[in-house]
Amino acid sequence: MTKRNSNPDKPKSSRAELHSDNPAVRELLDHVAEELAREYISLMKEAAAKPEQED
Amino acid sequence: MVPVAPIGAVVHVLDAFERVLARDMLGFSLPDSLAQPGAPELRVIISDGRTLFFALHPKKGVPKLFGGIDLETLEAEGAAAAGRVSRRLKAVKPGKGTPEVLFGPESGSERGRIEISVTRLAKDIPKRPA
Repeated sequence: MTKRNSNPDKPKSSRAELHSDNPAVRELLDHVAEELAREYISLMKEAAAKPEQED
Repeated sequence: MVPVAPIGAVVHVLDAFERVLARDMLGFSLPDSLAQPGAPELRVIISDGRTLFFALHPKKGVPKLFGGIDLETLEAEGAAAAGRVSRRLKAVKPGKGTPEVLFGPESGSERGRIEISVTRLAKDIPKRPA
């Protein structure tokens, strides 16, 4: 298997790619998205059940 | 200036967030659906330049904080750190290294933060024709 980011002097701008290349980090970020989405849905349902008076 | 590493992570989370919501809420799509009436406000917080959080602020009630992803640790330790962090990624409470949902005088251990309202940005984007 070849290592893509072999240059330790590679600029920091490549870090974003590095995160999505790492399966463990990707899984972690997906997990945050799931939790966030679950809470978002629950808050939307709450808001629909108790419509508020807009300012 | 916003560091690049958290931006990559934020984009990934928003993409996955949209996919999950589109599966459960018919017609959900970013950015438009964030501007729906009654939708909680979604914010991204980068605490002390290295720890990533997401916050949901309901119209009424207490905001909730998610995450605590230390991007520098993840970069340095990779999968091992990801495994440790995933145990505490549900809604988190302030204290023990977790900042307050709202930055203020009581934010004891936090030195600074970048906070972005994704919802406000979504509202500022002109609506696409149907």
